[in-house]
Amino acid sequence: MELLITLTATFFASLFFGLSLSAPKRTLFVAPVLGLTGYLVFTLINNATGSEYSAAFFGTLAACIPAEVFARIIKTPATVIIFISVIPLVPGMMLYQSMLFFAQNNFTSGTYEIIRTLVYSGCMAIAITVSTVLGKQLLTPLFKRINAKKIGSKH
Amino acid sequence: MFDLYLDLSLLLSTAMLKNGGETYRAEECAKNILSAGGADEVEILAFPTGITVMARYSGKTYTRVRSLKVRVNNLGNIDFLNSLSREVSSGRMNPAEAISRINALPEQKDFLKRSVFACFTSAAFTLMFGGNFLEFILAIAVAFIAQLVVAQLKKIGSITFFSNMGGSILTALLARLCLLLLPDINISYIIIGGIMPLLPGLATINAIRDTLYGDLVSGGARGIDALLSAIAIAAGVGLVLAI
Repeated sequence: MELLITLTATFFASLFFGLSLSAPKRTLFVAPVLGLTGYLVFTLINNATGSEYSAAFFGTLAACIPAEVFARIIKTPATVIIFISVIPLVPGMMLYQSMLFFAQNNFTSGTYEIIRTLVYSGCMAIAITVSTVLGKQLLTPLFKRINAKKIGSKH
Repeated sequence: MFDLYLDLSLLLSTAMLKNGGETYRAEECAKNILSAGGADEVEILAFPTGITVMARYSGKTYTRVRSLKVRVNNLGNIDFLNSLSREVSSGRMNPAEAISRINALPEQKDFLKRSVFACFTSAAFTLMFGGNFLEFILAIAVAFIAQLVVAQLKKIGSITFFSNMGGSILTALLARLCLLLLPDINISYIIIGGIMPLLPGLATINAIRDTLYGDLVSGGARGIDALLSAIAIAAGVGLVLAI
């Protein structure tokens, strides 16, 4: 039940975030669903292995690679979808925790939290890098060939 | 006629950079439009702060520069400009019509609508991180006020450091005020929800993508922008929590 509420909230958080940045209407279903997928993968891996860094990596990857594919299908810049779909994984909680520790003069825990936030963000950055490179090197030539075939078959 | 293509390429690329598009995309759009206009040689150098366009057409060399100081996040406009550049470079639309369409793009005047959506985002994040129904309602109110103030602050200082700091300070202050009135709520969830829409996601993603596409200067500049925004938000929250 609790997981259900969390997942519903994740979906609507992504959806409203997209709306607040006036995202195009045809991305407004795909992007929140990918946000949900990413968060689900993050939760599952985090619960199974207990390593939030690899969970962040695979969660972001699960949100970004489909986003690159869908962006080319519905012909929109990939950032438009990626931006909405990674927002549930952004480490706002950790940033807040570290600031709370610093405010309480607990510098040991604060430094630990802030390093944790940095490594977590680094893992997300690597996942975005991997998906961008995949999109650039693999998907762009593939979709160019598919589009060329489509145009060729029309004539 | 070629002047129109030049005007359009400059206008479209600047608008693309302004709304938060990647640097390589702005360069690509300008290049495609100028090639569609019949340029023999095109060279474009774009940064987050401006763009230079050089084109050679029937023996003459044209060079134009435009600088850019204001940046906003508008995904709808990125998508619109991207499809517009496709239409023009495939010859389905003439440049004069494209220019009038870009000039007719709405400015950031609908901040009330955006603030309403952003406050629901915050409230959903409050729920997602484990807040209860009362905190959900409070998060809507807190985030709505904070987003309205952020929208006004963006008009005063175009740099995100300033508006994000104001937003995070206000979010934390309002959350603490709520705690005074209702002592048994957990303000962490409200504050986290409030700062989530402010965090520099688009700047970070663009920094990574720009660097990967070889635009090192743009990548570095956007990375610093993202880092400054994140520090501003963290410092703003820390400041209020320490009182």
